[in-house]
Amino acid sequence: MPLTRRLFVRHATTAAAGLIGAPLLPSSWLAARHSADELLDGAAAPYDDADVRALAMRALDAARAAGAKYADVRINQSRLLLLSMNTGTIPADITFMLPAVSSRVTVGVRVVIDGAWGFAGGSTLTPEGVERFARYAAGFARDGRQRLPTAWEYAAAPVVPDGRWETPIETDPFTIPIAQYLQIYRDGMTEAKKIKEARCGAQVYWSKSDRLFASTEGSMIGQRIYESNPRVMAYSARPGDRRLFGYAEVELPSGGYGYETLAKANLKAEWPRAAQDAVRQAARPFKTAAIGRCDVVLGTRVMAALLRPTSRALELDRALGTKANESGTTFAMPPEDIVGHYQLGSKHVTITGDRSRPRATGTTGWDEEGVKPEEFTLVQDGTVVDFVTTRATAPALAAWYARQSMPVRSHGCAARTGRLQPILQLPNLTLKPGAGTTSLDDLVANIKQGYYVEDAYLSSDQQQLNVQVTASAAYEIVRGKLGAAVVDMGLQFTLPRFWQSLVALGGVGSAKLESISVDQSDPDRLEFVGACTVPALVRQLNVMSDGKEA
Amino acid sequence: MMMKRLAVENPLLLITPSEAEAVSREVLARVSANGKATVNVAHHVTVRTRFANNKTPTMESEDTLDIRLVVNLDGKAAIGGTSRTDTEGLVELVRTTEEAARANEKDSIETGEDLAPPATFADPRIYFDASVNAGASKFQGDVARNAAARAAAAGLIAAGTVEVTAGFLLVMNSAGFRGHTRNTYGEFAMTARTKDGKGSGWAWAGGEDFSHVDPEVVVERSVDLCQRSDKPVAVEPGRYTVILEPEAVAQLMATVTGDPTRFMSAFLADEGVTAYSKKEGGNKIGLKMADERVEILYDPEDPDLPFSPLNDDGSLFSRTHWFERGILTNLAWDPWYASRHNRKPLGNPLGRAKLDIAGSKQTLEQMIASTKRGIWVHHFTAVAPLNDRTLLLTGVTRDGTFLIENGKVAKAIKNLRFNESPFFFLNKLDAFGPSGRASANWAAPRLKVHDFEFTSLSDAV
Repeated sequence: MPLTRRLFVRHATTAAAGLIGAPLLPSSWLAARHSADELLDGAAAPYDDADVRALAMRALDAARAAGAKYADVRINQSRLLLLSMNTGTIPADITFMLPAVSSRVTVGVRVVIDGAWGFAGGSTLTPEGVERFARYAAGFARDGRQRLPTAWEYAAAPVVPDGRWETPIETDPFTIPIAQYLQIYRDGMTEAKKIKEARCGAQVYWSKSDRLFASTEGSMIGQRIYESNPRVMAYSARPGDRRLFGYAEVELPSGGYGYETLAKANLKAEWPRAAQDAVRQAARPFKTAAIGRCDVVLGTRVMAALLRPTSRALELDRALGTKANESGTTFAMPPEDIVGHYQLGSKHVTITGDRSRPRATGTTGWDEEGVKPEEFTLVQDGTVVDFVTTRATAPALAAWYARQSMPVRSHGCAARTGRLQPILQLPNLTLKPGAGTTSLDDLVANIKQGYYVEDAYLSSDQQQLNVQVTASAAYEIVRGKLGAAVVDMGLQFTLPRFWQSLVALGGVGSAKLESISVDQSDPDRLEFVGACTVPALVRQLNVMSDGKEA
Repeated sequence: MMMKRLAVENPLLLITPSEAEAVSREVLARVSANGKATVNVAHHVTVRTRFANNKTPTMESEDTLDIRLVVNLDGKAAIGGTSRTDTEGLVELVRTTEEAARANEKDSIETGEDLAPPATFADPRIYFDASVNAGASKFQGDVARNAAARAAAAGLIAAGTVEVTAGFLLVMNSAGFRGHTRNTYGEFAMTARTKDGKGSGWAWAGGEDFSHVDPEVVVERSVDLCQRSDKPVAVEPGRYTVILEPEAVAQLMATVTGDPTRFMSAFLADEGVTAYSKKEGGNKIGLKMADERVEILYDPEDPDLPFSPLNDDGSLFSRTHWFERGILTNLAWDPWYASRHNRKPLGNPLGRAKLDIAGSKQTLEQMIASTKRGIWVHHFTAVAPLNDRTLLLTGVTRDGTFLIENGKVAKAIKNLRFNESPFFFLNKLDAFGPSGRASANWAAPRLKVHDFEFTSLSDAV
């Protein structure tokens, strides 16, 4: 055992108030880039460390002693590296924002007493700290419970006594010196800024999370999850209104990747190409949209964005009213009336969820309730056939599952770890491609007069019913070909109407895996999940124009 | 004031100034001799109870400790963070942050070069034992159970959140600045819905001092709104005179000083990407963007929205107008950008601000009585910008939307989606009330505005 760890233990037990005690951690969890050392001295992965496991057991013991019927504990050591840079007018050369490096250790204990949940989490990873969190959580459950005892239902899941899973990557991005990242980006940007009319920007985001999950059911799961979310951008102001931009990106894979994706990228060649692209976009004639009903082709990014409200509507906790005071409920409620009956869209629409798609951001070996994720179907040929579930919510659909001869089990959609209580969160989502080999161009060729929306963001109401889409990149379609760029364009529809008006989808060759944001940026949250979609042709959507100024 | 004894194990227990200072000193002592450094020790603890379906399913606490270091080594800077307070963790923080700084370019923006000089400041009253006591689980459990029981007795379904946060911030730098502050904030919000899902009412109360938050008032208001909003009828979308409750005004105004304008950044305005950018380049300081009675300001001493003058870089906030007589008078100047423009840096306290309108105030009754045909809005959902250049926003009304006809509230109506910009409706004011606390970060008045644009109908309740 490394000397440093012993020192921690001693320091921790003598910390006065116990509030700022030292975490009990193996040295392999300490340093930002000691992977090489780990290999050299043969040390085990951090989640295998006996002391960390002992700490988790101590939390569970304290919860049991406080009367918990069930308890679980999560420990998360996260590392984050953020770099961003841009060329700008001020100063005229490359500007680097401050590199940001962080390393956090958090822990949380969740308990059930008399059918009520309690949770307490923080960053005091000491024996006293985890025991205190267990006591708080038990106190919360006791003081929050109903006056009459309530039944507690928690969908069964196989016990995983010794689970291990790691995002399969080639090179840990935290073994690469920051100077090397800055050099790669500086070299690429130096080439890109030779395109005089363009400006360039980049954001580097690497995260690594070492997690341990343990429950009173006997599960003990260690995971190491990597995430990469790079952006390499170029933009060019339009003549006449410098608030409008032509925009292009260098495509770098985002999701469960390591340094190898950046090592393989050729920024010196690709970035100037994107810059030229942005300049071309800016020079392209542009117009505003004609208001009215129109046929529209939507690109994979827009379809990915639309999968969010669609699957939010099928979150089981939302359909059960749990979020009524916050983000709202859903048009798809009550769930027992919806499932198997509700016609969400046309026969072309099949949507699945999973937390197991290789390389997607939401992918994990087990979710935060110790459930091995599986692929599941939310919408089959237009009909809603299931909901996004966790162990705490799945029993609400027991009658439906029984009729389908399916077991009552969670789809593994519990997210948030460490100091935050797990919640139901969206999984990776997939819109099933159309049969055949239809491409984006084929869809566009089908339209005499209409629009192609390449990128957009959207707003939906508290029941995910009324949706307004704001196009950030759109083009008119004239006689089956793309024409002028369109600015300040919006679309408005109700979500079921949208899916019901969908008449064609791109084939498997047009499928693309995008990342969509589902939560705030925080090392203990699941911020992005993958959304694999194809382009779609939708008839007669309501087109708006939103460019008016005060 | 009588000091109430804290509950035995109240989780709203903050790091002490001396503990935080010891951590901070240890970091500063380890920074290289040529380094200029600023250290923050930030600690927030929240206790939250959520109930739904007239039950109390979860109570939780979140304890977030963050040690942040900005270090500048001969013009090269970086920022680092950790949650660890032990020596090994702090050594690691300094090592990785300095390594990142050495790798960085000189003259990167946000250099952390200009350290705040030693200064003193006084906090307004922002820490209250009453709020700390409201973190006690017994108290929160009772609030939730009572609210649920009241809704059940009225035949309704309630969901709500009671939440209290205690926060601490210590700032120290290598130029000798040392300051700390602590505060509390609590709120209670509830949504009551009819069993058939056709009616919904929401109410909220919050502030630094939880003894001013009366859960019963919130419960009664949401129950009343729910009952009155039941079985709404559709009206055609279009331009209407609207009466916006202060909470709804705050939802729209939050965009003015918040993320859609990247917190009023002068740099981004000059870059051409915000509502404060001019078409031909440059920013809109000096331009009239709103009705000449409109003031938008922050003031640490404002009793409606008090906060600590202490900023995390050691600079001190003082009363500042963003808008005066409708004219944009200030933008936020980061130190690096200010120095390039020979300006004094100006901070934005997390978007916190107050909308105040000069002139004679009207009561709700007066506003309704003088309205021939209009819509009364209590709450919006998902307010988001459609267009950052114009700050055109969209969102949908929720939890109590009513038609006013001939000076009277006529009936509950279905929810409507709007497309409006604060810089449109702040030029269309018909009447306004006094400003008061309307959200965690905003104080705002009730407004009556003409020609507010609703673009589509929503069946969502």
